[in-house]
Amino acid sequence: MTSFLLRCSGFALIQLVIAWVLISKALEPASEENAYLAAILDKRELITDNSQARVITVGGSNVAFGFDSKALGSRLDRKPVNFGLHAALGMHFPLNFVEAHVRQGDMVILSIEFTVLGSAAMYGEPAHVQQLLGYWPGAKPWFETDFSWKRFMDREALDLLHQWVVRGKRRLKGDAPQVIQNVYQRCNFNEFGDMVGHYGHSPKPWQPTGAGIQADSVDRAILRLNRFHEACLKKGAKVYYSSPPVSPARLALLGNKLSGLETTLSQRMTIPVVNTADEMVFQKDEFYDSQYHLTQAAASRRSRAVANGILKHESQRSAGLPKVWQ
Amino acid sequence: MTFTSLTFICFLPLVFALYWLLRTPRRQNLLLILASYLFYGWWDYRFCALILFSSVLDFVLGWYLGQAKSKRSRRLLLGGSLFANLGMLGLFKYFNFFAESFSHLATGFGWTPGSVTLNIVLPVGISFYTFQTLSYSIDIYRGKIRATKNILDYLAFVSFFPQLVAGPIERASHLLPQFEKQRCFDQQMARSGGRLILWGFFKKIVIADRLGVIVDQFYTQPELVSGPLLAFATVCFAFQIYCDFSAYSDIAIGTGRLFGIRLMRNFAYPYFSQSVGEFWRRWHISLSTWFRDYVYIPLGGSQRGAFRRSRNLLATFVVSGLWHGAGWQFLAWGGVHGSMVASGHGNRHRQKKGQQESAIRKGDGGRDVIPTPGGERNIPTVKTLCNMALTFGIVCLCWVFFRAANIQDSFLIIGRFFTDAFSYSAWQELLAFAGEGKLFKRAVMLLGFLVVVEWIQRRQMCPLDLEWCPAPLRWTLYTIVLWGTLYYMMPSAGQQFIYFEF
Repeated sequence: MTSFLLRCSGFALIQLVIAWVLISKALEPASEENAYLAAILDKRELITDNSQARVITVGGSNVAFGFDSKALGSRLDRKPVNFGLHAALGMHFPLNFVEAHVRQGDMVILSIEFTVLGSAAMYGEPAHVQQLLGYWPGAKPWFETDFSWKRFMDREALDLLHQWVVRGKRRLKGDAPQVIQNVYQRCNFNEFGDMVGHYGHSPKPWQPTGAGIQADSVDRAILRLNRFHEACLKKGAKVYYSSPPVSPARLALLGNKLSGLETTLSQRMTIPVVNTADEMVFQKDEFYDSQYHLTQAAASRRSRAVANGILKHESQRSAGLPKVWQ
Repeated sequence: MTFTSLTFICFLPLVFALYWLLRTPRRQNLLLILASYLFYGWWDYRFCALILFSSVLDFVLGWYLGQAKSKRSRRLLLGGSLFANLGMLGLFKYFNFFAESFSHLATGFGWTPGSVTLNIVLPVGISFYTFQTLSYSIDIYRGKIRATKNILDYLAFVSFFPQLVAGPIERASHLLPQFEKQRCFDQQMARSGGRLILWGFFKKIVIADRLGVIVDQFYTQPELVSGPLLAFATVCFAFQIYCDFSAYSDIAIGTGRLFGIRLMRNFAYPYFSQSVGEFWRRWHISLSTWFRDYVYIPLGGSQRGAFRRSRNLLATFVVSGLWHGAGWQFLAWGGVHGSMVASGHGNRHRQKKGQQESAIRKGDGGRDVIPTPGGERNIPTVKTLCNMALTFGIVCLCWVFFRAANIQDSFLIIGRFFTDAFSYSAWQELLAFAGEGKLFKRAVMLLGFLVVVEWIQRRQMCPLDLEWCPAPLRWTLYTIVLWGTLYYMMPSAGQQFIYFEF
């Protein structure tokens, strides 16, 4: 037994040393990486600059990949800012940050991924949050936590360790610029914050999923969205909600869950809904590589639809019709 | 609690340390029971009541069975055990399937019965521990074992956490005596256990979860996917399910060894089999032998002629299919396998090789000895390779039934294999997928790596059994496997072991 324990301890010690080297490297702050999430630094600049009368799109990667901000801005006659990056950062981080920096005359369009609205993912996934904090340590106060030891130990801890190992190994190799074959790079965002790296590329195979909407999470999400709305109104900014894009296959998979979510949103959320999921249906070949990422043509079509929805809403409001309509 | 979580990684050393500190079998068993119920209740504490009920019932019935003298009362007691265990399984696992099937059938005859389905969760691992407790009652009835008088030993036997949720399905005659006697720490055994755990983690996290992404991608909407891509996804699924399930067994067996408990081998390189019959002697061995002993042989086995033998084989495999899941596709899966084995494909090889080469033999102490797959030669003959490829092809075809969402999709997919076989554009789709990203290349590399490593190490139970290697080299290799697993794991895959569903 003693011999076995000694051997185990020896082996564990070697692994601890390796872990220490990798994790300490991984946790070193890095600001100049070309990684996808490092684009948050550019988006932060876009939000904090002094421009007036902006249209800010907020959400996860459905927003990053799904808007032609230039077209949207010109249609709404505002300076566009695309603050979408990754659904795994959750909902609270972008809402908190935008809420703090929104100004009078701004217009905010929310398009939060269904799975984020309806699950613990609204708080962000630790592995991705940690990675983002590596690029921007000051972002920590903008995140909210719904920490659960059980969930962390059962699911998230190994993901986090994996992220550290990958990042630690990369940095040990000298932090060389990543040679990334795909489009997920910071340099592929344009000046408005839109992901444009995939423009002109053929769509890749992807698979629709139907999981992840839980009623109690939706309730919490709505409370937060209503608070956001109220804060923005106080600052003189308008807020609209537009459904993320959805494929017919996914619409079929989500079925009643999605219609239930939309009914709850329309009944309990104070933010006007300008496009429902039914109006945001895109065909499979209009998605680039996942169920949220649109191709260039589809992003343009979506931007037009959203802008039209807002203009229609504004004209109806000025005509005295109800604020919220489906 | 799932093996591939930090919870388990912390739980295991803690239980291991306490276990060896306790020393007496009684206390060790008590600890194992508590740990096992904690392990099982981690999913849902209500499941613990179910397993406790099942265990206590079989303990009591087993005790009475041991005491009963008359044949009638013995039959009655066995019937009680069968009724309770199979009833529980039927209620949780099959009730909705049979109710819906009956409803469809009745609708076909113009009668519309009301919908009677239960909104209940299938308790994790119920099929596994139910079969384990059943084997205890049946073996007492047959006089193979004596009923235990110690409920702690019995509870530890039923709930032993490494194999509780997805096997290996142990027999009381093999496992129960191990809980009854004093256990001594065996360093060699513990080390081999550690290696099995490491290899299991690698197979599950790196290979199975990664292949699962490809499989899910193409099997979700098979009607939109070409035949060659579906064929590739099916091959990926064959390895996904193998790596997933054998990984669970490896971790279970390895964990058992850390506690000085020997669990039976569950997989013996099944994809190197040269016939479907041999495949079933190497795949999920604990279940195959369970069905052999408790279904096939009681039905008459290979006695009384070829027709009865084929009928018995077919019936056994259909029941085995039903065990895997409540769906017509599982019945079809079992039926096709049964037909293949019954048609003689499974025995052709054995007959030609003097019925020795691939058959499980009894070794020292009556333990099963599984021969080396693919023969002893390092480079297989062309004939061996052809046999292995043919068997693998048949097994893959059967996996379509297993993986497809329903029986209609299964036939659609198999149809696509043949209709698209000579379609240039269909092959173009596969080439496009192969050329466009890392997913295909990594999958092919991983499959190649797995096959080569397993072939080289097929004489060992675990490919990481490298006792002939100098320790520094071995440790370096283990370190690479460990960190490679963490590096190449699929983040957020969060995939449960596939067999948890059964």
